[in-house]
Amino acid sequence: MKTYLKILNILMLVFFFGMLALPTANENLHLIKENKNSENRTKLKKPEFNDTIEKYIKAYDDYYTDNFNLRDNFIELLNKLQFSFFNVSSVPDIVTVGKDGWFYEASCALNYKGANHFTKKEVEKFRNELIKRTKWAAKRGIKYYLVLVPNKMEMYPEHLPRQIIQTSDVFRYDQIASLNNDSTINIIDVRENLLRHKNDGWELYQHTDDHWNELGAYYGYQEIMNRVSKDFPELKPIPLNMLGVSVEQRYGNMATMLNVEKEYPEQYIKLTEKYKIFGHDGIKKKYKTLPLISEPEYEIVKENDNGKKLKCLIIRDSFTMLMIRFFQEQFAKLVIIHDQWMYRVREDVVIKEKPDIILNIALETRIKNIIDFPFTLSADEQIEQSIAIKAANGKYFCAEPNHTIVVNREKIGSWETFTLVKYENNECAFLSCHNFFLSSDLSGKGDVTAFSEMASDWEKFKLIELGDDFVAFKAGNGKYLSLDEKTKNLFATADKIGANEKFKITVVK
Amino acid sequence: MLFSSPIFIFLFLPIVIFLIGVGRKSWHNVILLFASIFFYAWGALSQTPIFLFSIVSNYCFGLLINNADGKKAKLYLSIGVTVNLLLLGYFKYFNFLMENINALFSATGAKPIEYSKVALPIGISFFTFHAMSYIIDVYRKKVIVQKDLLDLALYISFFPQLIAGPIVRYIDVATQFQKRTLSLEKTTVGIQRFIFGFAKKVIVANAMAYLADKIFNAPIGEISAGTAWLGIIAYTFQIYFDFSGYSDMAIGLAKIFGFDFPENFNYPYIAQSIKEFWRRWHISLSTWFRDFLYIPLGGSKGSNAKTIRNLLIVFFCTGFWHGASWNFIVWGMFHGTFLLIERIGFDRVLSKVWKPIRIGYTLLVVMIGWVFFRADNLTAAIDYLGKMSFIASKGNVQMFLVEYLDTKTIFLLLFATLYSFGTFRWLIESIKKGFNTNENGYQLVFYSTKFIVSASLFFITVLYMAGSTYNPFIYFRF
Repeated sequence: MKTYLKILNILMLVFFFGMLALPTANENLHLIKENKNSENRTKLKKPEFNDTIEKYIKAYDDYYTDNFNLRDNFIELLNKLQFSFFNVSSVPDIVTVGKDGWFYEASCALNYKGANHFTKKEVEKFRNELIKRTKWAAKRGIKYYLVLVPNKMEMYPEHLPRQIIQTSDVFRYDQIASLNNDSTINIIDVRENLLRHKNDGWELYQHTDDHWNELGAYYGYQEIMNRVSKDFPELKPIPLNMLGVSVEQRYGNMATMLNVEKEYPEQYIKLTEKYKIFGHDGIKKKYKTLPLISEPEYEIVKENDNGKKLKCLIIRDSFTMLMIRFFQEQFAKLVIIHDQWMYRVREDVVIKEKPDIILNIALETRIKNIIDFPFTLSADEQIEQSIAIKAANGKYFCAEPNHTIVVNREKIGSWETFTLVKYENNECAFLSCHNFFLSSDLSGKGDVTAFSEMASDWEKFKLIELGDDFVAFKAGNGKYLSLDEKTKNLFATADKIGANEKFKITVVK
Repeated sequence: MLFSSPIFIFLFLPIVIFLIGVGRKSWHNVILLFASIFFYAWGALSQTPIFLFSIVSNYCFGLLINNADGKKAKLYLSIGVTVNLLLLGYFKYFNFLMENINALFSATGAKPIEYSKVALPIGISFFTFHAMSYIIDVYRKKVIVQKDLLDLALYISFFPQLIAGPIVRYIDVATQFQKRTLSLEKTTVGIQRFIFGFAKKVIVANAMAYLADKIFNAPIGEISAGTAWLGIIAYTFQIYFDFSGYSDMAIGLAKIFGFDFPENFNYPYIAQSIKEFWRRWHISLSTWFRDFLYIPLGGSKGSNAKTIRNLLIVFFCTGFWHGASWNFIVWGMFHGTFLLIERIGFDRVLSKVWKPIRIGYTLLVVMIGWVFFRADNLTAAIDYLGKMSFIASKGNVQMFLVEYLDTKTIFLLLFATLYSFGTFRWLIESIKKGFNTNENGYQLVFYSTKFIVSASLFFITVLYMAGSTYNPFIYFRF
């Protein structure tokens, strides 16, 4: 027995030390074949000693953690083990394991749940941003469209795990899509068309990838062209009967990240053209690329010499890729920019390319970047400013939390700061720091409060410049905004502009 | 360098074990000392001089105290303790002090004082306490002064206990620097202990940390009361499996090199009172405070008022030792208060109730205490407790309990619960009772199973450690 225990102890020691030394030994002896990097990124390089020792140590530690021998083998094994034992993702913040062999991009869950819906202020910001882009483009004779692409959770919630539940009845997608009611904005919501065809017999999104398949992309394209053709009647979508549908085995990105792509191969739905292809690669202008995007992906140019006239600029993310083959048949020139998910309209690109159409195609999950990376206009074109307003008594407007407006403040603080939103024909609205618009009671006494969450007729004022930096505001009832010296409140009751109807606007930086 | 990092597991540790394996016995202390200083310097090179200063100064204080008598020895001890406390006070508490002074100034409208932030040297709370235990015990003549600087340096810097404890007192290891056994059996026990600690940290604690972080980092209005409870349950397990895992790794590593460290945890979550909890949780710290603070203050020998004072001082210091923040002070005082409540008679009430109720009471107090420990600040802690109490307004709840309970989390929560309540230990003991443990057949099955479990666990934990570095990028070259 003693001998057996001794053997066990030796085995334990050998196994333990063997495991500790395995990566270093394998690095030199190459006993086990190393897996290839499945992380879709470049690993850290061995640091060079050109700074302090401390920085070198830190860099070496990071390098070793990223590169130790057999790391990818260990990770693959863990991913497979976790998946087969627990049916869970080893990167839960990136991949969500659904039911029936479906995998989802985890970050889409917030949108699906409604947990990250926009505030009223953000919706307004979005609207203003789109107006800004549309108007700026229109001035240059360009039609600007924002295309909203629904994420996979939105389209196929039936395969989601039970943990992902909707916690709200307000969703980002709907909030943005509803802005289409504003006639100055062109939003193309492709979800309706996708849902219409969801049960036609073919799936539209991939099971094991976060993207749609070629058929899903086609229906997205179809909806875009249907909408664009209202403004450009010469553009009509390629009919589906001009395309053949087939199935091909592939590996989806989500399953690959969990190293279970072989166990869950993707039956990828593919389209083949039954028509002659005229679109071809064009000459690139070579715009400056962004850090995460490689040069070939940053800018794609397609040309079509088959008598086409219109030019189109697309600001894309990955969902656009499968639609390019269709778009390239419609336009004389198609320039496609991957703006690293910021979806900005770059002024220099527009000026150089002179497109007739701009398509901002964005997956709903990253749609907030539209307002996080707003389009910067020159000063005279700005439509949104932080301001304070001084009345004839020398005091500033103040928005109290109880929705009242008093004109009794000596200094400008947050309650005295309003966002001035400018509209066409010198109309404007004032958003308080509490996120309520100044509103005049058009049906009653004309008293002005700040309780409205939307800028409708009651919240819009005509800005009249009086000279010497003075302005007056005319409310929707045709009366001027006036200071009541006694109560220090505002009313939209004056028929004429006197001292109490004159105000001064200070821009707050 | 963390024990659960690839560079420690695959480079540092095998090299040190190899050197110990091939090196002559007389070189072992030197190898371990250099390895320990390298270990420290790897994580905090610029702070290594402070660490070395602590070692050398305490070595000198030890000699001075030993060579002096009576008042002089006391004076040297006072200077020694003061130097250690100043070191700890300056590096650990200076920023906190300045923040509070400036908060006071700004409340009174005065101009805040400008100051440069002091970087906290890694492990300072541990190595200063190690050193203080040494000089105090030299003064008390409980240990023979260490004349060999290398041995004392090894005691203070020994890497298994350097950055996360346990606080090994010199008295417990004094003889082991020159005489210690290094056997195959002991090494195996050490390896298995290390593996269990490593698995506790990497598999359980990290998963619980992921869960707790998600919940604690969410806006309070977005979590449901059930989610708040899950968050604190996860944190309760995280802190236990993390800390006791580190202690297990330290004890195991020490054994691999022939040292025997005292235990630091003893199933704290089965404690039936707060008093008992502190006999089972971070034992090395509570005994340190008991022997070097509570008893010198008079312990419980004086009047009730003095005992209360002493207890509150000890728990104030215990809380403050854990971190320079009001949260930790409140946490310490919270525990101290319950200890007092038990002392003034609640322990008699407790002793009459059903055991699960006693455990439930203790756990509840401990878990509420962990909210203060985990929350970013006191306001956040109070908001979180409000949410746990079900009385806070529901708000815009977005994160429900069900969302966090996937199969892996359920499995780990269940495992952590069974482990924390000593179920596995009870199971092993019960099996042992049913057999003659000296029988060959029993030993064959028992040790073979232990080997298979340890080896498999180590392999799986290595996979998890590698997995923790997995950082795939969703952006594909499309």
